[in-house]
Amino acid sequence: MHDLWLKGMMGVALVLYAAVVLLYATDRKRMAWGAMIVAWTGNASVVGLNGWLVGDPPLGNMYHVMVFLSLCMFPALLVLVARDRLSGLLPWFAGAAFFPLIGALFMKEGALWRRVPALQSVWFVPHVVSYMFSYALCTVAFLLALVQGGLLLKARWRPAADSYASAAYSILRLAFPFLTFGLLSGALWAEEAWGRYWSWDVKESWALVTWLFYLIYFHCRKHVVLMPWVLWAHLAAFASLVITFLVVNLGLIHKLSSALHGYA
Amino acid sequence: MFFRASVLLLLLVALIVMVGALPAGEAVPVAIFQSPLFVLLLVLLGASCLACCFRWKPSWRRSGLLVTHLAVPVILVGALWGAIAERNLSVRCRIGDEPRTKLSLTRMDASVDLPFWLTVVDLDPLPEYVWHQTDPETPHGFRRAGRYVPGADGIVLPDGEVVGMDTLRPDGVSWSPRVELDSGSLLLFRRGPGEYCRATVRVEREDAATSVHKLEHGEAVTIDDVKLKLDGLAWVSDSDVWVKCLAMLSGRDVWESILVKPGREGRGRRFMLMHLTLPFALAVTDFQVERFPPDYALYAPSEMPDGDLLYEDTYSVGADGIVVDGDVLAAPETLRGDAEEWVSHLDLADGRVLNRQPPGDKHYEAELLVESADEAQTFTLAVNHPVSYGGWRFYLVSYDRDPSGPNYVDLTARRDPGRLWVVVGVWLLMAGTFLNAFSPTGRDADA
Repeated sequence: MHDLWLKGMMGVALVLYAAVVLLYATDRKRMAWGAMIVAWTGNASVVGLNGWLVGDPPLGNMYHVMVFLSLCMFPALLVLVARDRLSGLLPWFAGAAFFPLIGALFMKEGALWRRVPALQSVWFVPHVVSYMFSYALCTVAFLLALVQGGLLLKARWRPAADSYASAAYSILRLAFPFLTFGLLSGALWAEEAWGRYWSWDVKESWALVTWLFYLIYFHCRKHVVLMPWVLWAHLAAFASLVITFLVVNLGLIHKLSSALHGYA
Repeated sequence: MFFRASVLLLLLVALIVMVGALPAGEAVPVAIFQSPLFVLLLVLLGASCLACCFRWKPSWRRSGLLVTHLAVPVILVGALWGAIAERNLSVRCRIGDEPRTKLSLTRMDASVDLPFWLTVVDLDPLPEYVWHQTDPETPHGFRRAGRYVPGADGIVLPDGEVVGMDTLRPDGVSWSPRVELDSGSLLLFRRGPGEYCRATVRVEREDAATSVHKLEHGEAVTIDDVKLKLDGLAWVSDSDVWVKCLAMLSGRDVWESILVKPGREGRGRRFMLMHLTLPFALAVTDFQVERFPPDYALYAPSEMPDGDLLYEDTYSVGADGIVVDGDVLAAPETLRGDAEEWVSHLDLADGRVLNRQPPGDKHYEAELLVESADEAQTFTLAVNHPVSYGGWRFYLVSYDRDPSGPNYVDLTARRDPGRLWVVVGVWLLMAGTFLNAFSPTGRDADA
């Protein structure tokens, strides 16, 4: 029975996330914001129901984190609006919330996920939540970078490209501390659980590669000689993020499966 | 120039980590990440971060950047100090033993200490045969009657029929895929990587005396007070197989597992017994484990006479039992036996079978007793809850899965003088990045 409720609420949230993009494109901004609030409430209900079903924070498998990733988009946007007044990014965040939820809709729901002893740590929730929050922001920044890359093809579009680059930079400035917290809280957690901060596990290594490429991105922005490499550093960082999050977790390449993060 | 060199360093570190994380083989990451080149790059990275801190004038505007760049060398100093002076060893403690100051320790990758070199000089993987007896009531006329591994004389079936090695292995090398017996029943070679073997091992002692022993699967032999028996094969990859042995040292009553790589002449694993005398005595006085309800694997009968049961899926037991697509496959009361034990298997009405899987651990914890000259303290040790005492940290890693109950627990004992530096550096790095992102002037400082 709960399957129907979950699928139904996910369906409603999906339709509304799509509606936000359409409403904003047709200049009905107030309605778009209203739709976003309702969509997010539906998304939050799915997370809440997942939590009720497993009796624990619902962050234990790919289905859970995909639903949660969508949920992170709206709060991330609100922080950006408060800090940088980037309310024009609403349709980008709504669009980015749409895709993980689509993925979750077709996944076998993990209602009977069990929190094994290694996951029974105070670090579990902050580690996963900070990663999902940063991944949500990085996804939108990547979409903007793609548009920026397209606009750079013609010289007269360069000013528009610069505005996309600037928005992506603002987003990544917010994402990076959460990415850092996720990476380092994982190290502190590993020390508590196994007595080792770092094991060079596949997941850990790719998370570090992702962090390093975003670091390179920030450094490239600071030097005029390195400026042409900013976009490439950004794309490489997001590619590493996809490998860390999807390729390693879903075991898309067998030998890239993580031993220590098999439950993640 | 300095700035570009720093970015190049970051890029080099990222590329090396990426190479280490690519699927190029298990041995590569350790070799890469412990290489002098990688360590040198990290030292240079730390030095460049430190140089940045000195180049900038301290100001609130740059506080996030300063803290972030200061944190990197702090972490690296702690990590380097730890790498040089850390003791990180695994300890096996028998539950209920008297407190001891002298602990037998093994390195993290070792599991048992043998007083001799052990080399597998000849390995003969053994197949598993499935015996199908005739049964006119089944659709294909056969039913599975058991699995057998050939011994030295072949396979002796329960009905007394002996299938000799000349039948199972006519040319002395390859195994027959199918043997039709006089009774009409069949022996079918079970496909897939084998788990059984017989082997010839060479033992080389300290005084260079050697001896050769033939080991049959599961049969123990005693070599210099050490009981040794073959426990099967461990397939690392399709072409890489290790021999699993069980060893019981003199004076102990616990079988401990070791892996031996076949064909390494004279290079068999030798585990030196290591002792460590702590300034306090340590004992595990009690151990509790709580488990989740078991999962059940669902199997369907195969249409083919040579087929095993076909695996369909694994299901967890919920409040309503096992529910598949809204239908109750097995109610809770049918999964519970007379003594409230979970049944090992359940035959369903449609011919399918539910097989119980080993239950997962929900929580386990050990009582750790620490006795020093002037006090005795008891700590509760659990996963994610290490115990710190006398400069050492103890972590609960695992325990033995003896069906009659756990006999011992595996701990990690660690003393890391660089830990405080690493922890402080990690918190500085986290704080610095947040300061940078949320400070009102952070954007200007960054740009």
